[in-house]
Amino acid sequence: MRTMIAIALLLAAPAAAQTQRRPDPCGDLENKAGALTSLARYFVDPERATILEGFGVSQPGPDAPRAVVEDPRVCSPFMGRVRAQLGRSGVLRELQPEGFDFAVLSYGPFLTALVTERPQEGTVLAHGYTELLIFDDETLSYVGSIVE
Amino acid sequence: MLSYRSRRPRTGRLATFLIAVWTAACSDEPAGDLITAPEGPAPIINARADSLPQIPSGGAPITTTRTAAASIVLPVESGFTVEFVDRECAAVGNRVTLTSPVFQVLLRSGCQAAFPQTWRFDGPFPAGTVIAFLFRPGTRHPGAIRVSGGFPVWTLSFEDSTDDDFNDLVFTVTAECPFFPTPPADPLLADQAVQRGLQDLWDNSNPNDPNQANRFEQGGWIVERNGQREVIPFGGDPQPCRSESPRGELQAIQASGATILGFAHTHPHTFGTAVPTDGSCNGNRLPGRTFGDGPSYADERVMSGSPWPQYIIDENRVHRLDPNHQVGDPLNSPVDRNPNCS
Repeated sequence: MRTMIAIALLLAAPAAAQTQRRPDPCGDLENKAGALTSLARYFVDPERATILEGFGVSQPGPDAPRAVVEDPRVCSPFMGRVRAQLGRSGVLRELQPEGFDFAVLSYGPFLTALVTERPQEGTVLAHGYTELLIFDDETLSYVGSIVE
Repeated sequence: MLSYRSRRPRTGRLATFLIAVWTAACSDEPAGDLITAPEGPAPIINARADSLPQIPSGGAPITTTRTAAASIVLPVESGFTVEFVDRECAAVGNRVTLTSPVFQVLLRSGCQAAFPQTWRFDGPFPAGTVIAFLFRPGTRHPGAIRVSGGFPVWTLSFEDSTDDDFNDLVFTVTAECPFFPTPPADPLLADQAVQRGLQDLWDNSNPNDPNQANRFEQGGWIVERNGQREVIPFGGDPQPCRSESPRGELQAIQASGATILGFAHTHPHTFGTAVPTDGSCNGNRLPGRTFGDGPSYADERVMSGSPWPQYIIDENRVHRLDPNHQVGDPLNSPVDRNPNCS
């Protein structure tokens, strides 16, 4: 009997680990498709062109492809760059205690990470810290960030 | 020119009286006693601007033999206050009169008058209203008025002699800046008490501080309590890059008998400016970050399941997110508001 219980526990352990949600390398942000639409304004709206111009690049325009990136082979190395950039800036240290949500979004020649503060239970976070980090899609070099 | 008093009785019609006052005051003849008001409290005549002769706008002073006039034009519908802020003179009888949009003798003998003194004219007066002043010095020298500043605060400096130091009497005129140039269709935004609350949130954000690190997002709950609407600011320490109502605050407000109608927060950072690198904005210490504009992803996200609308106040507009708005849903057209005029 004791052996059977032990076997059951051994079997249960991997099962429990499987049900525990593993971090998605492409982010757990709610409503990524909505975020893709909402943040497109910085890449298509002419009245917001100055933002990217300030980073030394041009808007890709409304016809450029855009997508929510869900390929871990793209997201894993990219998020490594993002975390390094956030770590250098000091923002990651501020975000870590509460955690943050992110999504990887592609706009034309740019790969971006939307990083937003996760609300603490019981609070109403009317406006959490939100940063859109913009990288060059091919070289993964950092272009600049928009803080909303 | 004959004395007005000698030609017409004081019991004449108001308009005739005012026109006569104007004519006398702007004539090349010494004004003398022509606009001497009766003794006792200064007369307050609620005359509209268009019932008086218009004088040139833009602050250009008009100097007659003794009497000087100057005007300011309100660019938006507004009330205004006039404050007597300083004096450095000794003459007896330096008289300052507001002639438009309300006729009121402000000072009969300014060099002896206490300061500061404030006169409030609530109006609201329509955009384009002329605020006009007459100054008749008690000296034998011509008076002069110098107007400086601009909406919403002007300074009027009066000169009663020949030293041209323009500090004999000093007034400020401050236009009350209505939150919206035209009444918004949104009934909550149209409420005057709500507008005052939103204006307070904006003012307390330090929106004019050149250092972005000193601008703080301010938020508040829009509530109705005892039949009155108000905006209750969020508790906790305001921060440059986030706005939060702390744990339990919402429940405490509701327990106080208030009905939540909505919530709001400010975006006081100028679109396209650099995020401060002193760590005040969520720890950031690197250049290369720029402020965007709203509503942000986080603003939209908080609306999922919210039974109340949210308002986001930026420098020129108020954005409304409807209850249960989802990230990426089409946004309402923002409502234009009067820019920094607090």
